[in-house]
Amino acid sequence: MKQPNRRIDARRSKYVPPLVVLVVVVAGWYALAYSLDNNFASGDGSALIIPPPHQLFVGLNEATVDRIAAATWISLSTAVVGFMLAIVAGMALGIAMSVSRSLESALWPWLIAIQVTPIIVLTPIIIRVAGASFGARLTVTVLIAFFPIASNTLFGMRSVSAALHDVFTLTQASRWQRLTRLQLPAASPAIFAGLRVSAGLAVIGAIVGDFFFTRGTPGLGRLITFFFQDTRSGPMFVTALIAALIGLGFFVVVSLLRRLLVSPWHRP
Amino acid sequence: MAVSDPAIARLSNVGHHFGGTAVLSDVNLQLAAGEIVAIVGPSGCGKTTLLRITAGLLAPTRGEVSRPEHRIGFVFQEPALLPWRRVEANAHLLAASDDGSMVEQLLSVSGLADHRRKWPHELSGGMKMRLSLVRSLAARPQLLLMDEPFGALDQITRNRLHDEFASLHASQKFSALLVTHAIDEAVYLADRVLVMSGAPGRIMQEFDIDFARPRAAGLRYSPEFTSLCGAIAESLQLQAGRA
Repeated sequence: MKQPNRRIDARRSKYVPPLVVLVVVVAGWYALAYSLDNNFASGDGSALIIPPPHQLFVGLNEATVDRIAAATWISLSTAVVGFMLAIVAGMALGIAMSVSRSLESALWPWLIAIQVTPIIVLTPIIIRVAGASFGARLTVTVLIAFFPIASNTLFGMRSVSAALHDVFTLTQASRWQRLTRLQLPAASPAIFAGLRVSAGLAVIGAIVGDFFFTRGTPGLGRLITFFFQDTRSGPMFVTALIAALIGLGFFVVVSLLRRLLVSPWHRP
Repeated sequence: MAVSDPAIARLSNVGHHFGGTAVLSDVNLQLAAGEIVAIVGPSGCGKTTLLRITAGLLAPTRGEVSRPEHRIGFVFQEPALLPWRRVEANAHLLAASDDGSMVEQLLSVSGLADHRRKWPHELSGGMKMRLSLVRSLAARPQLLLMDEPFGALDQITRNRLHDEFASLHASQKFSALLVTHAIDEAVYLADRVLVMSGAPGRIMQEFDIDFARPRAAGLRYSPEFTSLCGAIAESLQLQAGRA
């Protein structure tokens, strides 16, 4: 008799908090939109500073939808390819640093420097190396997203217990066997934690890159700037929401992979 | 170095220090084929270091060690299982690829056959330890080194594992070096018990255990067993007092 109640309670505790947060955010959005004195000055919805949620799609004509779709494709492909490259680069760096302490001490300051250097400073170098279009946006995405993967891979690889290393030493395992059968599986929970952070950063990188490198079809970042300059807040917010949804999508995909590959055996 | 005499492993004048701290001094020890030797000693006397040196995981700063080149098993204080591999895969980790029947037999003897699809985190402490033992024995070791393998278990589980271990030893005839803090465990399982001094550890006294194998069911409660445990405890107390 008690089990169905428990199941309902479990469902409640899973779905109610996100719903409550959603309601609070939407309510806050309405409150903000209606509290601004000049928010509805134009009357036709085109010049809203912050459109309330139900007016988001006012002014979205076919041409605008096409522009948003094209920009979404550009930013999505940049984020996906950039994220893949960040995974390869981050893991390669993490593994390399875990193998050699001297390589770690040689590379680590530079990796931190890259992290804290504003992208605008690197713009001339990126244009010189990768051009001013897709390659440049990709470079920015990788630069912004690789660091959590590299640092978490390094941390995970170094966290393997000494006893497990001893087991592999006794079997006279090769370095490759130790890497693929011991260190990488042991590091996978930490690597996935890094991937979850980097997934969001890859989307940010794709959009930020778009601000600086303006050749070719605009991505979501440049489109947001256009709509802002045209005071078309509705399309601007829709574009921003799409960017947020892409970020959420990345996060969900990484979380699903983690649930599939790590959660069955990993108990933190 | 390959073993060329009847001893499976031999340590001659082995000494070791970490930095300026001497841990072992002039340890001489030999292990015959099929023999189980237990080592007891005060905490910090270098028992684990001695095991690691015997296994080849650590090079001694003095002395010589001969051991089998392959098939050395090591059961650590912690089970040291691969958490991302199921029970079955962990059991197969060190076994030869064509030695599946051996692993099956070990899983069955150790009562883990019905848990083969479980993850390590789903096992109890005793089951994890059994799996660790199964994994080491699946490699058909000539020499098995054990570092307080039953230390974290309750008395009942420990006694049951002692009997399982003894029956596996009877069928496989490996040599074993067992480090333990439990004197009754040492007397029950070993053919010889060595008492070490405090750091730097050296072997101070040796007790031969002559009880028949397989051990009788009530052996632990016999006056002879209790008396031998008492003698070893006294020797150990003496060493601890000197440390």
